[in-house]
Amino acid sequence: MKSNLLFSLLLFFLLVPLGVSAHFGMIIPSQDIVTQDGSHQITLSVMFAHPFEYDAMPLEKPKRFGVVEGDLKTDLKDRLKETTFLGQKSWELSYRFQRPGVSTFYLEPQPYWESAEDCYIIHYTKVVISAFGLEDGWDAEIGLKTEIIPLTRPFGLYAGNVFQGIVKLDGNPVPFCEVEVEHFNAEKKFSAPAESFITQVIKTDGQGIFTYAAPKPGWWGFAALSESDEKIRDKDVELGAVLWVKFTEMK
Amino acid sequence: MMMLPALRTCAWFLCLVVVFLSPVSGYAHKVMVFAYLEGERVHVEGYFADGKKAEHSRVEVFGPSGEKLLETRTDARGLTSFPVFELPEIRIVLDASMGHKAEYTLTRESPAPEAPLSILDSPDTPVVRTRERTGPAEEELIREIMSEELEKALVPIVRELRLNARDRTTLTEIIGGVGYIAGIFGLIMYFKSRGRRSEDGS
Repeated sequence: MKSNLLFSLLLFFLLVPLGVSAHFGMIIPSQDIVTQDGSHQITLSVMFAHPFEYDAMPLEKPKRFGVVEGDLKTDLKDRLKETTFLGQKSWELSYRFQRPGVSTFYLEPQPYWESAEDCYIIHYTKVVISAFGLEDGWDAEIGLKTEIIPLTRPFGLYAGNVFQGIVKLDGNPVPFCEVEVEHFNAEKKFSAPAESFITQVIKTDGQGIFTYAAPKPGWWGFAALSESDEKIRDKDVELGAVLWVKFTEMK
Repeated sequence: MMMLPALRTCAWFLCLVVVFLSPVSGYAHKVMVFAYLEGERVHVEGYFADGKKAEHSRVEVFGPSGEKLLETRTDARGLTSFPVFELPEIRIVLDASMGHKAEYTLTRESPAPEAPLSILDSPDTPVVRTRERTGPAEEELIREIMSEELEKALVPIVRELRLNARDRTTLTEIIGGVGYIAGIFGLIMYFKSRGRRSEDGS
């Protein structure tokens, strides 16, 4: 009886803190800008993780994955190669840029069941890349269920810059919604002095606009969260509009 | 006499207008040129960062030894094309007026570019980077996939194209070079002194 109680307590403590850290759909390209002099080919890493704690969850084969370039939408789902990130199932894609332009890569994952939060999570994730100096189209809305539309050009940014975006759900701005911000803390370079530092939390204003200044270089993820009207197997569904942006040290 | 200040103001205003209006596109966004090979034609695009096209701009094409091969102009969409030259490398110079030039070096056979680092796990090590090389076999595969992806109407891409990475001398190379010279010089001095010493000894 006693050992049972101890076991449950142990289980409780082991499981509960998991709920604290924020989940992020992730698309991390090997570079945010493709230049004429550099490699014309990039690798995109696609995963589901706690970016700051550098800890991953499995990502099943996405429901949708593709790229929007101007008016052209290309499905790249079947070109994703299965791999692992921190021991968990994840995906990878090699992409060669043929023409100047802005490419927005997007991910719609299958719903992820999070028992600690008793809900499903769907993070619609984007990353924007500029090739060969053409920047037109970085502010395009690509028509995801929920989406962050950048108000700051989302590439070629310096660490310390302010970043602004507008959060939309079904095409409408979402006022006063929570936006979680995390640094992709690759190889755990940084450590948080307290739990609250792991995920930075901001809210959109009355027009659905959020503002954040990244203190350090690297990839930063913005996840704007809302609850879906629809339920899956009677459970709540958390919708995330996630955008990954790279900030670079000024030298 | 009364007209003079008014005229002067007018002149200043005109100067300001000229200064503010003329270089706008040039200063804010540098003109750029991009070229790629499709089928047996070289396609050239002239553009500004904000998406404006370099319309009706002069395009000159030079061979490896600087000889001019061709002169043409872009159309209203900033595009032009010409048949491919049987040369290893051509230099394409676009002149978007007001002295704003851009150039692009197109190589026929350039070494396959290295695929960038991936942050995902490689099979044997838990947290590391895999380095992938695009070899000829993989190039074939990419080409196949690409041609599938591109609309059927498009001519399949014949060759990998990329800008010839220009040879630049880096600081490390210079320091290395100086080191080599010092080392060789040191060796010479060493043997010289040894030779002298053995001469002294005899």
